Amino acid sequence: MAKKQKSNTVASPEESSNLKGTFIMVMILGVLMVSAWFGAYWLFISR
Amino acid sequence: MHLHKYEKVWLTFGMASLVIFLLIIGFAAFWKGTHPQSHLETIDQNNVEAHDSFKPENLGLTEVADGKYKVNIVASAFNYDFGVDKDEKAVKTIRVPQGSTVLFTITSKDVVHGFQVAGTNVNMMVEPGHISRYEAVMKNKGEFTIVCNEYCGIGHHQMFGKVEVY
Amino acid sequence: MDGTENNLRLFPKKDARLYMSFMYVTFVSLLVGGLMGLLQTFVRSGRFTLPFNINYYTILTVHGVILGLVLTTFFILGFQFALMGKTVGISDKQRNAGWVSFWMMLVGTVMTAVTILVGQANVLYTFYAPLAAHPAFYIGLALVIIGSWVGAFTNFRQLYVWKKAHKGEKSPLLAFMVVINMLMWVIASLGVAIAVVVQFIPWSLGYTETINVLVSRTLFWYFGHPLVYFWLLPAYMAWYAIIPKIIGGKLFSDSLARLAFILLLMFSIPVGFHHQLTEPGIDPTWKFIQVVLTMMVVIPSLMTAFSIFATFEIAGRKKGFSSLFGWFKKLPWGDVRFFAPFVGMVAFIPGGIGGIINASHQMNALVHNTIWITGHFHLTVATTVILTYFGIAYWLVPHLTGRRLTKQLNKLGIIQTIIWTVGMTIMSTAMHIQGLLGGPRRSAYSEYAGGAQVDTWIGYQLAQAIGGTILFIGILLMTYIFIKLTFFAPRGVEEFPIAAEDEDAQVTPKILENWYLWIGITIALIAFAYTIPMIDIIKHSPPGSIPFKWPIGRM
Ligand code: HEM
Ligand SMILES: [Cu+2]
Ligand SMILES: [Cu+2]
Repeated sequence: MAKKQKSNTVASPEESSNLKGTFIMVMILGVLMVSAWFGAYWLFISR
Repeated sequence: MHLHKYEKVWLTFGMASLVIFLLIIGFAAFWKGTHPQSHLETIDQNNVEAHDSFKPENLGLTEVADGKYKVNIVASAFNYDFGVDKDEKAVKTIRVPQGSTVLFTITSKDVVHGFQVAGTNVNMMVEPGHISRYEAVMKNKGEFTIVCNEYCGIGHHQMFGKVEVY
Repeated sequence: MDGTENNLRLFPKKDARLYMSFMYVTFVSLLVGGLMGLLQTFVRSGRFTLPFNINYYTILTVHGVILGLVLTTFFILGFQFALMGKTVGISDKQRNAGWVSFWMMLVGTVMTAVTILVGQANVLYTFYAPLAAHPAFYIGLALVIIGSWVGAFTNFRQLYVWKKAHKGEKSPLLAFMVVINMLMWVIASLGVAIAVVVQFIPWSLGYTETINVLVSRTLFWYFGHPLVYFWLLPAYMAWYAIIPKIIGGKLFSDSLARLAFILLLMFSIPVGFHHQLTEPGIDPTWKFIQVVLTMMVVIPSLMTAFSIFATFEIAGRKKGFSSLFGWFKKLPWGDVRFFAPFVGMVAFIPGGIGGIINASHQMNALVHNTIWITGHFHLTVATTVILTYFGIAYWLVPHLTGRRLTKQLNKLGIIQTIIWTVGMTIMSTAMHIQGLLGGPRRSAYSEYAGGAQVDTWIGYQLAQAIGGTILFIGILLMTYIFIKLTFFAPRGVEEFPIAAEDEDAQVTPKILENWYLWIGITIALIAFAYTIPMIDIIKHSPPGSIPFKWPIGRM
């Protein structure tokens, strides 16, 4: 898809936006999702 | 459209998790046959006795082979009919030994009901004109309440039974 | 374009009156429905019986219909009309259509509510056949739906007129989102409208003798899942396009927001079987196919999670915070317009995860129709969605009434949010646990066959009554805040916060506004997911069912 940037930008979004915190947050969320799902799956299997 | 590299990693992780979930339940469903209750047989709800499983004498618990049982039930507002015992009294409790395989077969004479043996994986919708079936291994000992878990009218909460696994 | 100026310009009186009318119904519903919720938890505690012989299932029907269908639909239409008015404008004719929509929905609501209250419709908000309510119940519902369509087509027209006047420009993000939500709503509610108009009304009036139960259920759930997304998308609108402004930031990405909404449109409809997983009469392969599609609709929510955190982080870093989580502390925690929706976002973490578990095919048997499900949607709709709606109301209501959210009211709002959080944590957690232990939903107090298992359930039901009481205090407080904001707060101009794009934002691809393409794919997916199983269901139908009145206490 079209990817156009205005020439007056100093840096690409990659460099200008430090999203480390965001990344850690979503990954915590992901781990929660996976563990909850397997927890439920375990319960299902054990019944 | 631009995706931040972390967003790519996150979405890949998220989608991979979803795919894994689907592979696990898909494998269990299609290869191990543990689909949710989806029996496709229909019946005339106005004349359920015409079906062999729901003849009055065939209701309730029957041992079909060693460690294998079947339980036939007719649901109606607000009662589960498990047949009668020797003294002609309505059966309310099903007793099976631990580890036995039990096939529950149930239909409704009137409205939609539920049938859940609480604490086990036996959980099905019961609908007029359809037969619901689920086979379960009773792995754990204990008393399990049977509840109607689909609203069927103002006596809904008085529709119950019990399974005892000894 | 920086819309700050526009954000501070109040609506003309006659526009504001239309939008406010929807808000009145919303908050009256909240109070009435909330009271029913409180009574439900009391009854289920086993220590309270309803006075005047009122039936538990009457109040449960009121609760479900008034909060699940009425409050949500009225708030959404009012909020979305305001968004359209702000971003693309409204003409006299369109405003009149808005009024038609409002009155049709209100007349329908009153008709339905009265029928329930006189005990002629103890069928709960899902009105499953062959339980038969009085025809007025179904006719009222049909009016609500058709009224909402008038609103939807007015919104479509508003954007269309704007587009014609702004050739070549991309539509304002919020207007785009409103149109997506209304498209989804119209396509989805067609299913329930067909069930109500073609099946239920003639059958309850006695013109047809029997009803096809499974077809009616399938049509209901074809509508039922997108219904919950219809509630959720306005919350997403606020998260994507309003919260950034409140926290002093910019849109994270206009194109990603649009893409998420398009994915939500495409995948929220062909998934209704995940509510019918334990039903007989539906081929398990087709159930599984819809389970796969259900997992697809998780993806835009994963995108949303990232966008939101990123919005927070970028805004914080622009203010000069460089440590890993320093930006987090700097969020405007004391601003209820942010705080209430934020708690909503947090609730969506367990809410969304629970949803994935519910939809996992055979695993559904673990939770189906247990009170876990009730716990689940009190997190999603009654926390995530409702707290975001409250967060919107704190500025929208004063913006409409020409008043201000004062410091004191803001503080009360914060307290309200905390009360809600505490009450819901207690109630919802107790419901989740009781559900895993097998406790059923939609059930008045019962000791069943007795025994240890039932005893543990009752303990959790007591906890729910405690949580419910706290929640109801929250509802009283919210009602007070609403009345203050409507009638008594000091006059002034409250901002209508709409976030702007970054100056150096990337250009939004044109394809995202190719309506024919997205509607086409949506319809194709629905056709794929439903045609064969629907033909199957109809071909293998058992005899139809006559109306059953006595089980719901009708003579
Ligand atoms: C004071 C706050 C509230 C309390 C105490 C409360 C309590 C309850 C309880 C106990 C039930 C389950 C009853 C049963 O299954 O027998 C229930 C069901 C329900 N609640 Fe709430 N609730 C509250 C707020 C809300 C809100 C704000 C919404 C939606 C916006 C909502 C939507 C629903 C719906 C749709 C049902 C399902 C009804 C049904 O199964 O037919 N509730 N509520
Ligand atoms: Cu029932
Ligand atoms: Cu759903």
